[in-house]
Amino acid sequence: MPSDTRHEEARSQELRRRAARRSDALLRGASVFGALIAAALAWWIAAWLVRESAPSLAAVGIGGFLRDARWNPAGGEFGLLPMVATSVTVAVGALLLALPLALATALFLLGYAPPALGSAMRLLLDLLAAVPSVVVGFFGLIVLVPWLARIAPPGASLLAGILVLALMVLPTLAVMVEAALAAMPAAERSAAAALGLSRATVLLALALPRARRGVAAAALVALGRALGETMAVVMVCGNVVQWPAGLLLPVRTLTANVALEMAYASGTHRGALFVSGLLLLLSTAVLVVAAAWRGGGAANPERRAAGAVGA
Amino acid sequence: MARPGGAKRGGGGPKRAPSGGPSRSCVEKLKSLADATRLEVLHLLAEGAKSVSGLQERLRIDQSLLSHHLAVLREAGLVRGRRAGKSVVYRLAEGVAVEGASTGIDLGCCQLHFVKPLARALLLLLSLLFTLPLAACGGDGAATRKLTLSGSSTMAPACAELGKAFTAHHPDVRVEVQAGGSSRGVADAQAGLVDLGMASRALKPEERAAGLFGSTLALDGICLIVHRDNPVTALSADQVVAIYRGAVRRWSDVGGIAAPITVVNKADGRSTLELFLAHFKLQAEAVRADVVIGDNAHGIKTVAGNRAAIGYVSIGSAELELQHGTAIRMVALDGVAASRDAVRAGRFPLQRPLTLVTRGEPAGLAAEFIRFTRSPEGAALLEAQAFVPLLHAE
Repeated sequence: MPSDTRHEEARSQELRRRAARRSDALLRGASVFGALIAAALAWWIAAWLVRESAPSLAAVGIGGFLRDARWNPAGGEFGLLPMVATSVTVAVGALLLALPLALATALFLLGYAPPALGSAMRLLLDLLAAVPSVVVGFFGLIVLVPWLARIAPPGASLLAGILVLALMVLPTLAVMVEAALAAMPAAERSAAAALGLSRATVLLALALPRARRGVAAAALVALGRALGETMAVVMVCGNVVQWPAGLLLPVRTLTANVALEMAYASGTHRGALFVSGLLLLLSTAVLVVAAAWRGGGAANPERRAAGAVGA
Repeated sequence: MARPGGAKRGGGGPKRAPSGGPSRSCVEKLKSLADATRLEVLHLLAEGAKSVSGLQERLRIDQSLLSHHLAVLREAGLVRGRRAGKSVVYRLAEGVAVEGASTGIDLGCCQLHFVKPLARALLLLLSLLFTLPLAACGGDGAATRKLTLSGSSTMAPACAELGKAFTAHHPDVRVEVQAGGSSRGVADAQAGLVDLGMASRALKPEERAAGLFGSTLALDGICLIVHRDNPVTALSADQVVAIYRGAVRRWSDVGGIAAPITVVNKADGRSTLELFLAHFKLQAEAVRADVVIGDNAHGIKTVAGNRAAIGYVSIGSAELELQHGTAIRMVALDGVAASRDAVRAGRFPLQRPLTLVTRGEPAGLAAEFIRFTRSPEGAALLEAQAFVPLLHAE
C-alpha cells in the first residue's frame, strides 16, 4: 500500500537522523577531549617550569639574572642577558637570511618553474626539511666551521650559527610562503590573465600583498623554531658566554647552555637553567600572540570564517 | 512483482508458496543474485548505502550496465534507491540487511554472509609480522637483567664495548651506557639512578665520606692537542698557562705559525676540565676561551678542523683518533711525550684513574662487571680503546 511505503520512508528517515545526532555527539565529545588534552599539556608544562624556577628566582632575584655581569654558577653569578641576546640575534639573523631566499624559491615555484622541475624542487625542499637538526649541526661542525676558521678564526661563531639555522628554517618557510602566495582566488587570477598582466606583476603586485599575513605567520613560526634549536647551535656556535657583539665571535645561546649544563647542575644552578627555559617559553609565547594579533596562525580570521563546518 | 520494501522476513509478496518450503520470491531473489556483478553490488551495499557513482567507481563498469543490474535487484526487492540531490543513493532494502553484521544478507528463507578472504589473510600476515620479532625479544620468557652506567664521555665508548662483550658472556644481561659528564656519573650513582657511575678522575674525599666507592677501571692521561699542520710539538706548563689565560695570543710566540691561537676549553662539570685547571693551577674564570666544547669527540673535531686551535683531551681518545688518521697531534708536556706508554709507566705529568663509582662496595651484577673489566679479555678491550688497563699498569 502506498501509505505503508510512506510510513517506512518516514521511519527510516527518523532512524537516519537519530544516527546522525549520535555520531555528531560522539565526534564532538572526542574532539573536545583531544583539545582539552592539548591545552592541559601546554598549561602543565608552563606550570612545571614556573615551579622548578621559583626557588632560584627567589634566591637570585629577577634583578640578579638581569644584572649579573657573568654566567658563573660556581661563583654564584647568573647573568642571563648575554645568552638571551645571543638567542635572539641568532634567530633573527637566520630569519633575515632565510626569508628572502624562501620568497625567491616560492616565487620561482609558483611563477616560473616547469611542472616537472617544480615537483622535483618541492621534493628536495621536503627532504631538506626532514633532515634532523643534529645532522645539520654535524655538517656545520665538520664542514662549515673549519671553512669559516680558515677565513676568520675561530670559525665557531655567531655567523656559523646563523648560517646553520637559516639552513634549517628555509624549507618550511619556503613551503609556507608558497602556500600563502598560492591562495590567490581563481577569479583574480583569471581577471589578471584577461587583462594581460605580466607574470611579475601578478606575483608581486597581486599575490604578494594579499599573502602578507601568511608570510608574517610563516616568519613567526620560523623564528620560534630558530629560538628553540639546541643541538645544531651547540656544535657550531662556540659556546663562550659573551655578548654577540660581532658576527665572528663565539657565543652561547640559552638552549645550548641548558644542553651543556643540565646533566650535572644541581640546586640553584639547576633552577637557573629552568629560569632560562621559562624565559624561552615566554618569548615563544609572545611570538605566538604577536602572530595571532597580526592575523596569522590558528587565530587567523580567514581561517576562522572558512573553518566553520556544518554551521 | 515484488514491490520495493516488500521483501521482509516472511513478509507478503504475491508469489508466496502455500507450503512452508522456500518461497517462490526467495527463489526469485536467489535467481537475481546469480550474477557476479549483482552479487558484488550487494556485497558493497551490505557495508553501507552507496551512491550510483560510488558503486560505479568500485565496480568499474559502464553506468548503463550498472543501472540494469540495479533495476534487477530493485525488482527482486533486495535494494532500494532514493534520490538525494543530483545523485541516487542505493541501500539494501528493509529487512534484507542482517543487523549487527556488515556482511550479511537476509533473504527470508536463508541468510548469506560474505567472506573477506583478502582482509583476513592480510590481518593474519600482519599479526605474524608483529608477534615474531617480539617473541625473539623476550628470550624464552627469561627475565633480563639490566646494568646501567652513566657519566664521563671519555669512558662511555670503552664501557659500551665492555658491555657488549659482557653480554656475549651473559646473554640475559643488558648493559646501557649514557654519557653526560663525570659529575653526572657521580650524582647518578649517589642517587641510585644507575648501577655504576663513570668518573674520569679519582673520587674526592667528600664523595668518599658520603659513602661512594670507586673501582679503578683503567689509567688515562690528559694531553694537549694541536692541528697536524701546526709545527709546535712540545709546550711547557708555563706556556700552556699563558695560552689559556690569554697572555700569549699568537702561535709565533711559542714557535709556531704566525696565526692567532684558537683556545678550546671544556664546558663546566667535566672532570677533564677540573683536572686540567687543578694541574695548571688555573681558575675557571681566568681561562680565556675561544670555543667551549662538551665532550672529547667534539673537541677533537674542532681542533682537527682548525689549524690554529689548541685543546686538551684524554690521551686514549686522541690515540684512537690518530689511528683513524684524524688531523691532530699530541703535544709533549714538560718534556714528556704524550703516549699511552708514558701513562703506563707513570711518567706523564697529567694522569688520572678512570673510576667506576658505586654506592658502597660493588655487589651483584656491578661487581661481576668490574671483575670482567679486570680480566684479560676486558684488558684487551681497554687497550683497544687506548687506555691502560689496571692489569697492565706498573
